[in-house]
Amino acid sequence: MTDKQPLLQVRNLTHHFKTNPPLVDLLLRRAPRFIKVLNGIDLHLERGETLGIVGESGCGKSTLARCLVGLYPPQGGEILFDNQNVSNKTRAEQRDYNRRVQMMFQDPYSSLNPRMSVGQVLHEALSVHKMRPEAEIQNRINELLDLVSLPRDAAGKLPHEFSGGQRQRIAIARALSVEPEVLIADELVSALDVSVQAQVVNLLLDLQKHLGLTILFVAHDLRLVRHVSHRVAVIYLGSIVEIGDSDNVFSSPVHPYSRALLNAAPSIDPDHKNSMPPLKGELPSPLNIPPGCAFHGRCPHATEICRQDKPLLKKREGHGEIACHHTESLMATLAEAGEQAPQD
Amino acid sequence: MRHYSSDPATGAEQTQNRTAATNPEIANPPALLEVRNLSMSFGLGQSGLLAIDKVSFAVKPGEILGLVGESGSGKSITLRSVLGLTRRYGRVNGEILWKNRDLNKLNNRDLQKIRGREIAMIFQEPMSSLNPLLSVGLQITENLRAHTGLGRAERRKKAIKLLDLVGIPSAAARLGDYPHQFSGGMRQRVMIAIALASEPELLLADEPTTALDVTIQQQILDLILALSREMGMSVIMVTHDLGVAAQTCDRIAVMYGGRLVEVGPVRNILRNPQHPYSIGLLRSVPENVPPRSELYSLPGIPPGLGNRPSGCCFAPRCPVATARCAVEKPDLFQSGEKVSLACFNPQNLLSGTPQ
Amino acid sequence: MTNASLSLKKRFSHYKYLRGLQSGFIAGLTILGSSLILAFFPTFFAPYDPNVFDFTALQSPPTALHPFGTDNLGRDTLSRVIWAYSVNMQMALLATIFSLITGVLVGAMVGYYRGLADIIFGRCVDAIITFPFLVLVIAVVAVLGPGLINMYIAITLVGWVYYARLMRAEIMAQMANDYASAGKVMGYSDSRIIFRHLLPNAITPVIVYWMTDMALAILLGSSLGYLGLGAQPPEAEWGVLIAEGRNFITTAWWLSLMPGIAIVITGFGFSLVGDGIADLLRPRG
Repeated sequence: MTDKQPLLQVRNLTHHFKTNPPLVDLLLRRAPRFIKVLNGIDLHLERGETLGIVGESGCGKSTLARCLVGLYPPQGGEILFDNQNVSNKTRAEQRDYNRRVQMMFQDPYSSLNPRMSVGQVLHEALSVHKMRPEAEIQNRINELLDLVSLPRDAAGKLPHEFSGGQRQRIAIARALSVEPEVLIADELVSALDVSVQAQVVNLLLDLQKHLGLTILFVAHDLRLVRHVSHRVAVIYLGSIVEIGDSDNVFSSPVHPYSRALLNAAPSIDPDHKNSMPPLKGELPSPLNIPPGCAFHGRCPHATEICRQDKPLLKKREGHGEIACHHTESLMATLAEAGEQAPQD
Repeated sequence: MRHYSSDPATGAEQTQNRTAATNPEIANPPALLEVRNLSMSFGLGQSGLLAIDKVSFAVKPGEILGLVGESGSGKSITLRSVLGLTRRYGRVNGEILWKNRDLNKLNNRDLQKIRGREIAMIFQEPMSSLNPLLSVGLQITENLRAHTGLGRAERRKKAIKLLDLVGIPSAAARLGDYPHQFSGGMRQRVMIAIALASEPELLLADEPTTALDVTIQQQILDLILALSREMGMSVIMVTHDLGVAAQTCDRIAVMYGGRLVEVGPVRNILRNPQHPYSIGLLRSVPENVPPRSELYSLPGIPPGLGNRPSGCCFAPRCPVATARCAVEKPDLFQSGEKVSLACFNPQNLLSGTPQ
Repeated sequence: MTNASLSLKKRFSHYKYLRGLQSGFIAGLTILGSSLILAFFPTFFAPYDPNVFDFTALQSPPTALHPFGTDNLGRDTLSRVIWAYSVNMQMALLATIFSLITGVLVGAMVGYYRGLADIIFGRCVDAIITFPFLVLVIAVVAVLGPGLINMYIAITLVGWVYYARLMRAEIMAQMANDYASAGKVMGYSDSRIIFRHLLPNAITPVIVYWMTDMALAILLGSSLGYLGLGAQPPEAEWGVLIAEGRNFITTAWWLSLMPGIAIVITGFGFSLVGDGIADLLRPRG
């Protein structure tokens, strides 16, 4: 991308949920426990690009998406949009921010009000934000339906009359109605059938091209993320472990976790077996994030330093930014392997 | 719901020939399970909704068959109908041949003896199929008691062995734990351990990894593969993920609209699919395509149960449909040496894989 | 051909659905409708003046002239039961409507905003629902003095809590749906999200509860009338009527039985309508 200011910048974002303490804890006046969902996220979005966010469930990718649109009140760190801090905004400013940064949700069955017709949904968005004078709203609704390839008579129908894929189109139309600059897509197509997924992904790519949208694409389907993203960030337990150009990260991931995760997606080629043994163990509880590098318990390369110091994201030549103490040696083995078998 | 009987009777059918099962490579072994013209319709009488329509397939000993399709294609109902689990929802027709017996003709009592003992099943959401009030150890030993003649101490030993086999660390210590104390992947392992307790010859797996993360998915798939190889166990794996099918199955049966549209060895189906639906499904997976290019996508959506077309179910979405497709349902026919196909206009997708 | 048969099938299932819905709902509506007509126009239906003594027919059992019999002062029971409709139907509405409005508003706010308000509300609810409802209402009436207005105040003071509790739970359940989050992301105001989006989806159980509560209000009002804390004699009110007949239950059974039947039928009507509304308001799909 270019070296101008990024559109959206996230600095050291943290988000912890307080658990509901059991009565015993209250009586004994124990300190409340926190689910540490986001632990210092740094990233930025350039205008017009797609940043993919991948990670296992519970890694904080959905929380990140919801923090970005203000669904969770800000805790630590800051979010800058167009160089302006998003937290501590007045209601009017928050509203304007939300107009410019929109979100689409995973579940097509719960993200639309079951009692409002598609026309009403779009009409409401257009009139609340005064996007068009009242007289032009009907026209605009038709335009929006055309944009997401829904028939115009869809406006009079209720959400339950549509399939999952069509509902996601409605959700996209609703998000686009306020002419946002950034779209946050949280598992937008995860609930859809494969053949329908492709339709929605094509629509999203097409819309991005024509409207110059900036997209944060959160998904657990690695193939999809690779397909739509310019850059991709791999999250583990609320921290980014690797971020960089999509091609680069997917074809030669450096961080041991990225390697394991990106390798785990089963290929549709029966003879393309995963070269890596599966990752051992499971995601530790976000209530008790291991000290040092959060991944050290499952990492085949972990040494003493990993148990003590949390590695920071560092830019590496020929790669993106990587948060690992053993980046050099890992890159060396990668290069070695690359020389031996240049074709992956 | 637990899928095994609490009936402690020991069946004579228990004795089984495992030697044939351990070698899947012998030429044309007889099928272990053969399903012929299996139909299932919800509700009774003329107004019933046909969920699956004349599905026929066979599973050989030691083989892993993938049943692939989108939601509403009937793949899960096919699987459940094999064990008679759909009987109370409607009418099941056809033959399900298992060791010279037609499971569809058995009453529930006799079927109960086969369920969980010779044929076991695992589900997508392990939490809903494990009893949350019973310890994991108890649930395994209960199954062992129902299906084997082991004594109390032996059952405990076997339970530990099973948990160990499915890769649960410090198995002995975890026998007393309850399902909620396990993570999603571990629960799926527990469920597999329960299913394996009776050393079934056939494992029915209904989307066993759909609720899991990819790294855990890989662990579970590897586990199922290894168990199948070691125990000579056949598996029918229902999945919507072509990648999962590609990595685990020997043969694949593609379902659409309640019918099988293409059946054959995994490489034939994934390298050179002939049915336009298989082709579309395969091509809409974003693998080996230039990033951010337009994906191939089938128009429309899969038909719901109540509004399946009268001809070929895929005809409305099919790019090569003819007038005949709209009125006549194509039957499955042998199109190649090992491939069967249900299509009037088989296509050729030249495989683009470089190897 | 298939399209035609398909649409026929669709229509048929729709029709069946309606018919299943109708039988109970229509019966309920009929009962409530006639009750309302009786309540508004008792003069058209009551054969006699409910408060006029007829010393020629004291304690007359049901006859052609007095189908429900007469009481010890010769007042026609049928006329008194019919006149009581206006008092009792009014009771059903006035004893519940303020609870409904307050409860819905408070419950929606508390469910939406949570926080401190929710904690205080929780304590209030605990305090009120641990008391038996009737005892609490009687206590309030005892302080305010007997009479219909005071009874309404008493019931409302206690009753709103039940609505609020239900509403709070429903709002919280609806907020788990992403359309509520989507509303926030769209930058809608809280009041728009609460009243335009959440409330219409959350209100159904409250309306159904309201219907049963109206039946309960009639019962409660009658009980209070029976105890002498609600409507005051000689006003015709079912509870009062039953209380008046109590002394003659062995000799003139019709005095207590007839208003009792009226209570049962009306209560039944409310629950049938409640069920019907629940079916009707359930979102499809």
